[in-house]
Amino acid sequence: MPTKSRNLFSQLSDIEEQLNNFSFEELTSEEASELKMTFQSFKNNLENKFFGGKSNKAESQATKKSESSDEANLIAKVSHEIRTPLNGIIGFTDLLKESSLTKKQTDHVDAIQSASQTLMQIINELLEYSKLSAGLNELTSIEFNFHKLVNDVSYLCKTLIVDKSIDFEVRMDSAIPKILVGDPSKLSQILLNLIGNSIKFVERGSIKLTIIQVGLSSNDVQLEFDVTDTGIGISKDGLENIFESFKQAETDTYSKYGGTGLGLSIVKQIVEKLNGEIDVVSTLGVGSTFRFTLPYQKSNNNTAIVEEVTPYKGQEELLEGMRVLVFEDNHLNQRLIKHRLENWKCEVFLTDKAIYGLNVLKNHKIDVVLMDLRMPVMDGFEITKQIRSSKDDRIKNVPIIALTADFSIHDQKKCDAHGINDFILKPYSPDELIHKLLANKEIENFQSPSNIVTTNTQVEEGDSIVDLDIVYEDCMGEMDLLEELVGLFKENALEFIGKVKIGIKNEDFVAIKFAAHKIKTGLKMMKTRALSDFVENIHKNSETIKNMVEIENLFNCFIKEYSLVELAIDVEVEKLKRK
Amino acid sequence: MQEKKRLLLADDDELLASLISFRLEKGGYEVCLKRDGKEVKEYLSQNIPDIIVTDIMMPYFSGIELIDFVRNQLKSNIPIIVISSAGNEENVLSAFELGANDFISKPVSPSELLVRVARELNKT
Repeated sequence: MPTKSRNLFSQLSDIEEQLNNFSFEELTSEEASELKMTFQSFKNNLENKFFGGKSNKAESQATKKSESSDEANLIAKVSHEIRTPLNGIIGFTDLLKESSLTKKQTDHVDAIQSASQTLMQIINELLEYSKLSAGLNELTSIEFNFHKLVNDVSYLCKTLIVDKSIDFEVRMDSAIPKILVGDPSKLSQILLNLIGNSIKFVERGSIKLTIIQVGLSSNDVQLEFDVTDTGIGISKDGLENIFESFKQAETDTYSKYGGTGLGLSIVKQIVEKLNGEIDVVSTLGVGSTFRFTLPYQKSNNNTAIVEEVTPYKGQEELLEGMRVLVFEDNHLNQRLIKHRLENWKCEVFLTDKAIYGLNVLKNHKIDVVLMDLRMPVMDGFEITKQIRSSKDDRIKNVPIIALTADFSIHDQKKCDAHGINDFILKPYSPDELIHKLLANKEIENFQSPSNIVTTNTQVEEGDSIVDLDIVYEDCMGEMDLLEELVGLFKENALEFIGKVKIGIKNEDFVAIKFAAHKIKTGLKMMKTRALSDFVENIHKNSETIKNMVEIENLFNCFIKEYSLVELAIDVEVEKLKRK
Repeated sequence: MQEKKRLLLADDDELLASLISFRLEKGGYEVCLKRDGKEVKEYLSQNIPDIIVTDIMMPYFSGIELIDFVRNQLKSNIPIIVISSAGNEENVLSAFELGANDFISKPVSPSELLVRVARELNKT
């Protein structure tokens, strides 16, 4: 057998061996059909190559591309699957931290928390990477204020180095047009990634961002960006595959600095998607320079349509006494925004938890809510939805300003649909924050948009995810009975989860309907309002609307919430026992 | 001493049934708990309780069928209280048409059920 086909055969038998050890029961039908497709295209490809002779280079290129995008799709799916239980871990850990722990236990829980957050970050990077590979990450082309974007990025970077002795400097050719046409969010992503990378590897010294014009025609402008640092540098060998996925320069980079080795690969992919080029020069122990060029169109619009923020110097005093509730999960950002708002003499409430935030809204007259849209346990859209479905008009109508790096938030419809009044794009300057706070301070009688999708999650006085007081009363104080009921409840819930899972797989609406019906009473007895609402909706969707996608969504919500409820029940039972 | 009243509780929801039967027993009733229509029918062929409390949705034999069976086959007038899920008004109406005496909605408050059971028994 010729070497080449022998290689192929040995690879095939490897695959076969792996398949023997693979548990196919765990595949979803979608994954299975994807697998089948991949094998079929492999087979067809082989046949075409040898017997059809029609296959040309372009075709095999196309197949190759679609294969890699299949793979990326799979990664995207898997990342999502990992994120869900991970959310549970993070949620549990948060809850655990609230119980009374010894010093040692607190240390251990902190360790779990930081490890799971690192894992979440890695998964997010993986997801971003796979989205890029699959071409799912769409580019926008809009007018934006280039100078302002650079200032914002540099402002954010400065906040990242407050703890280090690093000089950060930006030099920008002032001849670069103020308004350009392109994708601003991708540009800030590239810059933050590269500068963030430098910050990671520089102990002390300097980081410099230089931007010059290298090409100019009547319509276009070519910009060159240099990010130079005095960091640890990269060896010659390391440089060769620095932009490759999952590769880091030195083998011990990960152990020293962590990371996935995806950051630079993501940057390179984005730059190339934007029709730019990226390169690196570096000397070990001296530092590195990452250089990339990007083309932008000039704007025809000389009068800048992009919103200009006039400096609000001196207007800070108007903010005095304003009560601001901030949903933000990143600790650095938390510290930053608290510090800033308190400087302006605002009263600040900080949290990353829906329940805590909703309690604050109940007990304080909050003037405005700042909402980070991307939080691990419950995202900002979800919390906004809960606020907007409150029975209390004052809570329901509180102005909500979204904090986001997602430029598609520019879409007014999207804001309206989610019940968001206004937004601030990250990274943002203090002036912008003042401007938005003032603009939303006076909004009275804001009517929440009518087309907002609300769940029936009502927020009421003393709202908690579970309440055992009434059922305990019904048990006439018999702890044994209560514990038995709780045991039954958990069994029922597990049975429900199992049945619905199978029901979704088999598209069996009737089975789902029965499962939902059966668990309803128990949920009401335990006063788990959110779970009851999810199940009520699952029941409705399986009985009349027959929408499997929605059922799956609701079911995922149920599972997420249930893990918290189960823990909360145990905590409640312990509390009642102590009484 | 007065003999304990016998109550047939037909409900397939273990959670609710455990709680209710506990409270009814505490309230001085002899409770016989059946989890599905088959068990109920078997029991009724041998025994006549003083009162029946039944869920509407049950395996094999619904609460509605149970009322029909008691009133039209057994020709018995023993009080029947129906437990209904919210949003099942139609079922409650047919239950009344077939001769149910009272109904109580889920989630059932055991104390309320005790009062209703006592009230029905006092009528007879």
